[in-house]
Amino acid sequence: MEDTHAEMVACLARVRNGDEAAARELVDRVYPLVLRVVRGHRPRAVPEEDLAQEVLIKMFTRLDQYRQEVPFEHWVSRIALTTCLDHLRAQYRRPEWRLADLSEEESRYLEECCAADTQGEAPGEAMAARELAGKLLEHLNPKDRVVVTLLDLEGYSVAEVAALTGMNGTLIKVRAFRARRKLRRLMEQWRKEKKI
Amino acid sequence: MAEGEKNMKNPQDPWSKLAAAARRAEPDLRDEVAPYGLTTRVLAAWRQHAQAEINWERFGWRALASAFAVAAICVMLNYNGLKSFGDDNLEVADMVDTETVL
Repeated sequence: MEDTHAEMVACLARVRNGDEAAARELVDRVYPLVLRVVRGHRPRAVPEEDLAQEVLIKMFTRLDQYRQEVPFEHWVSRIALTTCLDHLRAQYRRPEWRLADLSEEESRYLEECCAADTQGEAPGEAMAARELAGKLLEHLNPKDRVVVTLLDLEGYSVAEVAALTGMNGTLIKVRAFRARRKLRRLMEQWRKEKKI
Repeated sequence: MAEGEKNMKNPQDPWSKLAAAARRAEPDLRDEVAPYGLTTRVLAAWRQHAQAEINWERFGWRALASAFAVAAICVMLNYNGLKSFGDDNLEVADMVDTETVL
């Protein structure tokens, strides 16, 4: 871990001195991380490669602002997250998804989740659950969506979400509470509409 | 993962069930290597940005030097006028003092 950190610091120093090979190495190092954040939070309409490219360009152009107060990976994650948030805001203003777009499997899964005593644990349904969760999350405002995704789908703690987003812990809890309440209402509403 | 579960109080709640199932989905690990050409595009954009910054800096210094030169030329051309303006002011001040004394 220490070695990796030391290698990263050395790599950054070389990049700052204009070493192109080091810059390529830096892209290779951070690309999987950027891709993970982008895949977790990107709006449907934006291709992940375009978003990853935007994040990497921002990373390089802001490299002088990195002060080594936090690990470089956290700093890059934060850039990736704020970039996704900007795109989510744009998508939130013009949502393009409708209830009718739920697949058969997702509808069945929705029914199962809303039923009182099922656990929703059937194997192979996890992807459908993920898709359905993604579609539900599109109806939240972008900041709430990021908070709930990080807490409930990616398993981060409130403190970690605070470090990643720059919001304070209380605000995160309030956002998560309201967002979950909205998601529950939405699930119930969709279930009723599907039945009709 | 445990932290995510801890964040939701009721396991029978529909959203909690859905989120728990979604967390069990395999992480998407395809193409974790940067696609061909992406690094080149990123580095080209970075270089372009750096060049633009250098150009603005150069432009800024040149504009400052030009403004300083114009100011210096203006002072040189009007030096006599400015000097006499100062003298006139002294004369006026002397007159005012004399009048006050009288």
